[in-house]
Amino acid sequence: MMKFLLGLFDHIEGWERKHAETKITIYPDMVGAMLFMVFSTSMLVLMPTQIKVIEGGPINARTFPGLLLWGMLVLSSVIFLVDLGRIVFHKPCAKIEVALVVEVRALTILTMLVLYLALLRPLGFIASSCLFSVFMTGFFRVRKLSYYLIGMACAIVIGFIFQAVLHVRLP
Amino acid sequence: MELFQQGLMLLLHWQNFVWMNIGLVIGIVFGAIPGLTVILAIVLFLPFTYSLGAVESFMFLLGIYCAGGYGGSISAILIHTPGTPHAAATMLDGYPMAQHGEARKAMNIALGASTIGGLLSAFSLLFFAPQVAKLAERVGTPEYFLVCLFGLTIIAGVSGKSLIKGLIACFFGLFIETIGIDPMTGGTRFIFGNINLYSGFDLVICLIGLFALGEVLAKSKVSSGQTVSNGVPNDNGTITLQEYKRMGLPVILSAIIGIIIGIIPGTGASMASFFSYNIAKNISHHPEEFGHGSIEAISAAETANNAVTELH
Repeated sequence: MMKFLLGLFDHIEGWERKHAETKITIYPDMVGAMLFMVFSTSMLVLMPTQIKVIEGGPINARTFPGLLLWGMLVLSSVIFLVDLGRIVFHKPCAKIEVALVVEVRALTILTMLVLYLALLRPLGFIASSCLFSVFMTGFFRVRKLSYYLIGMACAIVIGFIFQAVLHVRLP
Repeated sequence: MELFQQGLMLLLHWQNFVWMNIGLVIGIVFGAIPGLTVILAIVLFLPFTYSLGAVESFMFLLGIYCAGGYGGSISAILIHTPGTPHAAATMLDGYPMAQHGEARKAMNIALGASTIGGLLSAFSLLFFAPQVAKLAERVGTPEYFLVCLFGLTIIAGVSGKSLIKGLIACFFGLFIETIGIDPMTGGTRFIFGNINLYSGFDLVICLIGLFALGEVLAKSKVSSGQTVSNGVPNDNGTITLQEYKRMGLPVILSAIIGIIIGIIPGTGASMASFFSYNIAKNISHHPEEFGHGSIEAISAAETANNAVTELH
């Protein structure tokens, strides 16, 4: 088992060395503003189906969320247009370079979290937490078997304490 | 005076004292672990008090409740994730201090400030409880509205250079809070047919997702074989006299703020800690340090959040 893991780590490290210099340039303010514009627009479009109101009063369940979404949309549009103007007129604009390797690592963690959530009900808390602790320990390229066992033991002990001692129902 | 003596004797009775300390340990553990709240600890350990006397039970549960206020600062300082929502303001400067190798110092400051805030609040409750109750009765809807509005103005203080981005973040946070049941009409808002969203998003879960996840992603940048160390071995946590003097005024003001906000029903320690943080920044001779490891910031936030805890 450890031989397989060590082999996998070597393979991953080889891939990372190969792509270590690959960078992606993004304009953070524009990207952030675009995300918020998309989010607020989609929520505004979905609002009539998601919030049912009885017409008649000036204030209803849609008032406050609507104000917030419009505010978000307007402000993020301002940021987007200001940055767009800076790019068009060749003025200095905030930009960052992100490494592809770092972003792939982040996406891997997010995928593992989603998998953990998906496996929580089918496998139960203890089994899925053991698997998750093994994945996360492996993600950080730990090469000692004892660390994997400690993580699994913690998941089992905590699950046991909550279920058997404190009588808290876990998935 | 006789009542004080009786209270002191009850406090120092060995069984009550032991249960209080057990509660303190549990409160610190539950406060320090993100996701486990102090209220959860009280609910889980309440059955243990059925076999105890009244005073022992009170001291046990109070120990949990009060220690939880400090416990949140431990994870806030060390792993950039507040263990309780109250410690979010502590995290702003506690974690940068830990990154500079002064984690022990930051935690000592948090402990001292929490103690002072709790003590001042407890004494004000002891001597002014009837007046506090009368004041709390007078707080009505207009006052609640002003307090909420005032809480939102703190955004201007923590937004940094871009107020527009701060406002977008504020609107987004408020929008997330609207998800669930509308308190006015009882209708559902943005639950997408999922019954788990009826009560909306839990603040603690959001804090873990926002801070803990970000910290895990940040740590994932480190290549294999390297160890990540935030502290240096020679951080002995010593606080100099000059630093104590710097923290004096923010601590006193924060205790007063925490006591006043604690009097108002329905408010929380989070508001008090951010408000105190803002005030400390405004009166500080070194406002540029705020957000980068200011001792005044940590002391102000922790004093306020424990001062509120006691009064609640």
